[in-house]
Amino acid sequence: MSAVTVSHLVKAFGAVRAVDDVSFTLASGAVLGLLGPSGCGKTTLLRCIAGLETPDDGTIGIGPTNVFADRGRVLVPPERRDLGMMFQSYAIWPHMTVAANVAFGLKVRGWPGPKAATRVDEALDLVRLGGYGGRYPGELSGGQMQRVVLARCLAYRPALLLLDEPLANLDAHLREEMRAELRRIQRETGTTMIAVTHDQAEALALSDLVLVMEGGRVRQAADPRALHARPATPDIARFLGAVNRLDGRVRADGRVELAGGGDVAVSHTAAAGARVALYLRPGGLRLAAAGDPVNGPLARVDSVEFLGDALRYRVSVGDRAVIVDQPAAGPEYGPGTTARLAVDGVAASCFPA
Amino acid sequence: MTMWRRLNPGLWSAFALAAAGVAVLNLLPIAWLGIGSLKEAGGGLGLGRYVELFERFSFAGVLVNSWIYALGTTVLSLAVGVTLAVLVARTDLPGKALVRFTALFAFVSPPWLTAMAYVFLASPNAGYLNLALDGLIGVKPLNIHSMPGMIYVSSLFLYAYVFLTVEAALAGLDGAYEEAARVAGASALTVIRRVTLPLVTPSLIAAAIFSLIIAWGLFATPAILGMPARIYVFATQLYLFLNGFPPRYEVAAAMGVMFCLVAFLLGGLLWLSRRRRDAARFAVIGGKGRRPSLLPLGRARPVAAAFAVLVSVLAVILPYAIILWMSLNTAWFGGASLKDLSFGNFSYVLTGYGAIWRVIGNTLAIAGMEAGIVLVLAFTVAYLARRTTLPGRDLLSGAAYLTVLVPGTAFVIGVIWAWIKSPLGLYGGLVLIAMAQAARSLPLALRNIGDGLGQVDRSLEEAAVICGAGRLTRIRAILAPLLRPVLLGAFALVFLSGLRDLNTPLFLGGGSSETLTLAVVIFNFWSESRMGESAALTILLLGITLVIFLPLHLFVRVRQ
Repeated sequence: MSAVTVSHLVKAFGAVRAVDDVSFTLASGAVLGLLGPSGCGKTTLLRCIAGLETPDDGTIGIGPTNVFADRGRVLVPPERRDLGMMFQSYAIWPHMTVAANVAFGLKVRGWPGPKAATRVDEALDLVRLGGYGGRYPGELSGGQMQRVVLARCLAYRPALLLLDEPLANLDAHLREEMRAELRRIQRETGTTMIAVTHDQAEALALSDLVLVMEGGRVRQAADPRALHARPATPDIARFLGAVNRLDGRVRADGRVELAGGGDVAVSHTAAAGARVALYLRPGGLRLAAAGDPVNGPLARVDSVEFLGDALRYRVSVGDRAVIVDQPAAGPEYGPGTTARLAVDGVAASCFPA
Repeated sequence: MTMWRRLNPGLWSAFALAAAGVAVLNLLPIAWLGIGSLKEAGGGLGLGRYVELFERFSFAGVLVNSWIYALGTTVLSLAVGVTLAVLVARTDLPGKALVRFTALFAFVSPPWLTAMAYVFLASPNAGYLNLALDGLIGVKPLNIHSMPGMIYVSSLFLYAYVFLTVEAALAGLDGAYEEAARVAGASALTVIRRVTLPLVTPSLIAAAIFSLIIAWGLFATPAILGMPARIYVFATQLYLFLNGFPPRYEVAAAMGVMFCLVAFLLGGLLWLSRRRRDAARFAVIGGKGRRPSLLPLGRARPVAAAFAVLVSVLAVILPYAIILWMSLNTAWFGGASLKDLSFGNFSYVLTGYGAIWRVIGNTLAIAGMEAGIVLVLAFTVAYLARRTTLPGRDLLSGAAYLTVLVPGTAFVIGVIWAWIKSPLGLYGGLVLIAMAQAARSLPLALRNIGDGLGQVDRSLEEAAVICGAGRLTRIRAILAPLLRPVLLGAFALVFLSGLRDLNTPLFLGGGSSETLTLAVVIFNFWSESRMGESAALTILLLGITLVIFLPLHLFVRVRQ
């Protein structure tokens, strides 16, 4: 059964189509990640689903009912869509205790006090905040507030949970912990979720299905592994971290002859003689001695930065600048030396140029 | 969007009710002011009253006086108010709390109190200061019954408005701009002149224009100080028109219209200047900034401190001391000897003056009704303007703000015209007085509540929507509790100004004893030269104010 069905959704602000003909379906109990750079329309799409923005055209179905259809002739207001939502700013009501925040959704649904109190305790236990019910939000840390928001959303067991940049306000350490926590709670409760994020690692780790958006449109819809392995366009490859580009031409033997000299074997489907562009992740590259028999061209080292666990080299292949991140263990190549750029041929993305 | 609106009949009803309220309270009197000014003796419409105004009433003299009075007051208030604001917000002036407290106190003090006190202090023959100077140097140089006297006393009230406006703007200004100028080598004075003041130009212009409009509407000061010396300005001339026989409502309206037109013109210019200015030039006033490190005054520090103390003494401490003294004194203008002190005045006003309880009841009833009307209307208008997308919401809030541009006394003339013949029979009753006062205080409350709403992050309400709460639940469970300090503050401010309003009940009461308020009785006693009783009633009014507001203040304190 599909929990969410969006088809041909359009939302314009003046001349700008913030959401432009977006369609997808999401199975019950699954997690959808909306990934894209800021301004790509992912937050507008989420707010349309929430009912906080009214789309111009298309349909939105949650469960068996359409909440928006027919250019607004069918329009269910947000408070009757049975949703939960985590706001980027938390939006915890500062004048209520943690327990009152969590109980709010139950109260407006008319739950009697004792029953609601039990459910509040369950929700707080679920997010590991048992015993914090009497506190006020001002007394909590950022990570604890995040958990309160989650408990508030889950207490009344909504059909769908929407997350707007759920981890953006946390520091790096807490973010990873909360990400695992979100995944655990999602598995335990089986809640269907849609999460907006601009962080690819977050999207890949959380989601069963990722929509990559750009300019209001869906550029690729795939599960995280497929997305990572086969980005559909150069822009998506770059967005997913493959910031290095090398140009070349496919030789008769299938290897790619690089414009800056040298050649490399990569997986591709281009015909012999075709011009191609390779997109390579800094982490998928490493430097080896010039004489080593590894897959890749020669490169001149321009600079090296020490990042702690890793070294970041900036090297040149012909006139192309390339970034290489490799573990700090092993030999170090100083600026001005020549080394061989070792390429993981399977991890490289190859597009027609 | 269209469907979203159709689904909200409740919202539309709220909008319609608020629009009706604003129309009845604000627009009807302003429209009637214009209509009334055009009424001809024969019954038709024409410009006859305007001609009469110039030909028969030597209006030109009043016009010139009004401008001198208002401009003089504005200039003096700006000089004092801006200086103090810069000193408090940007320097290491000692005793800032005193300056802020004085300004707040001067702003909410009854204007007649200061005027009455200065009659005791500086009237030409018997003023205490004149007597003292006579003993010292043999002359009595001071005459408070003069144009400079009126300007001086009015500035003691109006400077507070300028100070509060400009100080708030300076407090919201990011200090980094000024620190950058200092680091670049500018002296403290240069920074204030070249960076600080230019950045708050919009609030300086607004303070100047609103000071001018407020000064036109001031009645108590020119009445107490100017009328005995036959110096008439706009508000006191209106009073004469209304209290002449027969009352000249049409001529009063014509004069009101002339001042309103100038005020609208100034307001329009202000609005245009704000629209046309490159918004980014003044976008620094966001309230997010950090205050810069305070400029050391150095050797000027004692001088600045003395100035601040002097303003406090002249504007608040001295007037209140004199009024308290006079309320306990039964031999006014005599020698100041302790054996004349008694509670005779208090005993008279509390027991000898039969209508006192009714007068107190009227005062509280009017202020209560006014505050109730304003709070409901201001919250509704602010909510509709900031939290909905209904068309016409900006027009509604513009109409609610409109009375800011109408000099107080002119507005009351419009209220008389609008209701004197109305079959509803509100004229001459407490409700109409409360409505007129409510129209006057609506803009201030709307501004406070609107700013408060603007500071409540929208996601707090959106989170409640998502949880399943309808609009009324959101307002009741989220907005109202979050805004409670703002709402209580607005209520207190409106109630307080309602208690001490003189113009509205005096002009609208029509001399009837049914609608007397404390302020009106104080003014009447004063007019009858019963100064001790007048002072005693003023102290009584202040006592009532304290009794009501101290608990409220403590309550808000405790709840936060």
